[in-house]
Amino acid sequence: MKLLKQDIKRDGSGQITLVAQDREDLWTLYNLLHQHDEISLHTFRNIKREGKAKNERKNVILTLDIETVSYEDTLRIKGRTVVENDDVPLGSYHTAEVLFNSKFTILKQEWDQVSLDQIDKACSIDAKAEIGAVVLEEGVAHLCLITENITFLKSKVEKSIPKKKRGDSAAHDKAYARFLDLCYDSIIRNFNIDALKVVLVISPGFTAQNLVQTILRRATQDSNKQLLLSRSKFVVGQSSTGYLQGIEEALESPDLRKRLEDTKFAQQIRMIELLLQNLNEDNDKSWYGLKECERAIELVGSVKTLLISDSLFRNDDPKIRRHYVQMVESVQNQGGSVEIFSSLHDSGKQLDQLSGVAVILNYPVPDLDEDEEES
Amino acid sequence: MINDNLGSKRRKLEESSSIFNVFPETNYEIAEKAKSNFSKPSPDDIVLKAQETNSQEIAVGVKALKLDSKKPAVTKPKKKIDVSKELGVKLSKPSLSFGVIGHVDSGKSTLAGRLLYDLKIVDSKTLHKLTKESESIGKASFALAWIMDQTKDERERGVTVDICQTQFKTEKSLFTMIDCPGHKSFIPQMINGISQADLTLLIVDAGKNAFESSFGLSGQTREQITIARNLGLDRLVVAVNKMDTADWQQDRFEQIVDELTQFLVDDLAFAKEKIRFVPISGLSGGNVVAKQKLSWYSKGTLMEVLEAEAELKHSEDSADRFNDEFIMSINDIETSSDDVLISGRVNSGKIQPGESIAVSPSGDVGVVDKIFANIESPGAPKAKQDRDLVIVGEFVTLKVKNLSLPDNVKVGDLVSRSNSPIQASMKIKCKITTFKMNLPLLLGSQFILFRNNISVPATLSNIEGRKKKHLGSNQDALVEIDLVERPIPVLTYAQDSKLGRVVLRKNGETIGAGTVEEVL
Repeated sequence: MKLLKQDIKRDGSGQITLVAQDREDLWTLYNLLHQHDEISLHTFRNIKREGKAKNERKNVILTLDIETVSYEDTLRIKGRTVVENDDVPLGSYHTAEVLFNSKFTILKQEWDQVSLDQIDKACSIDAKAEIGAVVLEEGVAHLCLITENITFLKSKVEKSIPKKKRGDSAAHDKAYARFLDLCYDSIIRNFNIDALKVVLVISPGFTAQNLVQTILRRATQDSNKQLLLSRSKFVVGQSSTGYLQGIEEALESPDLRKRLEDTKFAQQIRMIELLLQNLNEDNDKSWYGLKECERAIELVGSVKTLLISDSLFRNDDPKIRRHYVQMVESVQNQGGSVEIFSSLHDSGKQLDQLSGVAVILNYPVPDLDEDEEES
Repeated sequence: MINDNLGSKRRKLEESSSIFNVFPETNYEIAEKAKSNFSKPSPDDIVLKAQETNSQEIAVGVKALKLDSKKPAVTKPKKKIDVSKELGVKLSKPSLSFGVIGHVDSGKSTLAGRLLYDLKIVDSKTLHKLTKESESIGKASFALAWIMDQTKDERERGVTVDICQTQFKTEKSLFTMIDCPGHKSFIPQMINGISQADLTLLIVDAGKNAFESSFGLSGQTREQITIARNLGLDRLVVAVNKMDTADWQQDRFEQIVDELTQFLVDDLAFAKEKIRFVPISGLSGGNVVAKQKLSWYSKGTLMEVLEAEAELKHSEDSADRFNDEFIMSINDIETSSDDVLISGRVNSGKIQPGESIAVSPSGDVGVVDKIFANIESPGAPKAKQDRDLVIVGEFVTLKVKNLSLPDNVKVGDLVSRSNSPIQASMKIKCKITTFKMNLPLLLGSQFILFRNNISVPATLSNIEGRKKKHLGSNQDALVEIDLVERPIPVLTYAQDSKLGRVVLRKNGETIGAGTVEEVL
């Protein structure tokens, strides 16, 4: 994302002009835009002219009072116009799609710190680097891209491989080799290896090693120099399954962790693991649920990390949203750290299931879940 | 300008004239259509008539509807055979399928190879060739295992990767042996193998420290036998292998028997009388088929024990078990130009060539063209045998014709008769027991669900009657499970005690097991 202009007044209201560049930015915007924010942007609208049979499709600049925002690979904003336009009367409904590389301005009555941080992050180039991952087992492979906020399944390769038979495994061997070739083709088609930080190749058993061998062999055959130069980007990992959950499992290996140390994705997986570990040991050092977390925050200095899902900030009621923002701010003021999870990653989905908010404490605090009447 | 005007005028003229010309014709068509319309029942009539037919019939009809809306015809067997006579032949000989499991390098494949060699299923020429090949890469002791381990990976790395299934006949019984991989990475394949077995053949290494480490916390013995037990296998033969390295000492054998028995009976609730222990050496062949002279052991060779188990199962099986609904689970698929070869075990019922079948979950319908079996007998060359009838328990290959989408058939799908397709679902309710887990199982967390020979990613979507949103170690719970990727055919435990069982694994650990209570 590119930040073009920022103008925020003392009372927190103001406007920011941005340019979205990739899918990741759309997700940030999805989390940023709430009901009754205003956005002014370039958009297409069918305009009926008097005396003409056909509608004219025209590029206009509209300012919308937002009613709903939906994200499904594209970002669609529905609202009513609040600024008069030669072609569109005031108060007409319009649904706009946010376009890449086209500037737009967001106007909010209140910009909170969480929103500003989100924009900050989206604008930093470092956080943009993507990880490619191929998770596979014999017969099925999943190719995905992992960014700061999104795990995106690019492609799935499936081929049924006959079982080996005693005395004759030719059919198996042939189908297996063909499967690895299909994976290679799909990787070439779907990944821009140059732009990727690292490509994880994860499988149970030896399939991942075999795939990397196939990749290098095919790259040599096709004299694909670029690919051969980035051979060090391919990292093999072990998992117990060829489905997407294998990624998280493979990250347990210290070797892979080192390669991904600086990514938010890997950090958050570790955070969730720690949370679960504490819950499993029942050592009172972790709690989830809004009430429990609020009580923990009341005990100043007890919260080490607040884990919170971005889905909570998407609430349309500004009061509730403000409440969560206050939670984040008070933890930061107490010296604790805050991790905002993206609900497009598995780690974020898990947190969502645990009510979306959890705390890891500096020291055990028992019975945070007990109702006051009981205690 | 003038030209333009002229053109538009002419067009107008043409338009008006065409209206005049065509009008009577259309009129005629309309009249004709109206006439024909009234010869058919009116839309109201059709609706009323449809409503009359009972709603259940409609539901059945809707279920059977497919995109190409070809109605599956239920076809009869091709050949007229004397079914009762054929059944009589089939039921006269005991048959047993056993899965060979155990820790990695405990000697499963070597034992399996030894069994086949000593029973003369594999001839000495084949073994000689394998011995030479294995010696050439300095792995002479692997020759017997290479009978089972075919692929490049398996031979170079010296571990079994996938199951290898062999059917063979002895004088007394018919056996299906499934050699399973022992390495932790290939537990999914091992589950696939053991889920097709009636009996578990557990191999443990009697070597110094080898048994201890395989039975320890990081060893595979515990996990594998726990899985087998939870898949409903309650009969167990334990082969204490590599006894030659322990000098065939009675002390060592009994120490292992004691330790295992304690675990099997106390932790896994095996009935003590259903466990048999045999001291053997797969590499030398002692006590496998040929008897090893031992002063302290007299309970028969491994082969004799297996034959006794087959006999026992034969006497316990009900004589009319083939009367159930036909179900077969698919274990292997080969597609040729227009027909599909589907291999697997007949879970229940019986089937003959010519009968029509349905595959769940794709719902595709086809006709069984031929049925093959692949049973090997001592001294005879390998050959496929044509079958006119197969029943529950047999491992067969169906050649299926007329499937509309052969590529949609997957390993783990269920085959049934076309008039009673099996329900497929994305959501099931299960009664599960969790094992010892490093991390709790949260609502929404993903794991791999194993059912018979199928494994799919799934999430926990609800825990009934509980305030907490996670399950800890060693807990019982009634839970709802959502499948993530695709529906699978499901039968409840009440419908089928084998297919109604599930095992849960996450991050390479077996975290729980249970039974399907309800298809949602």
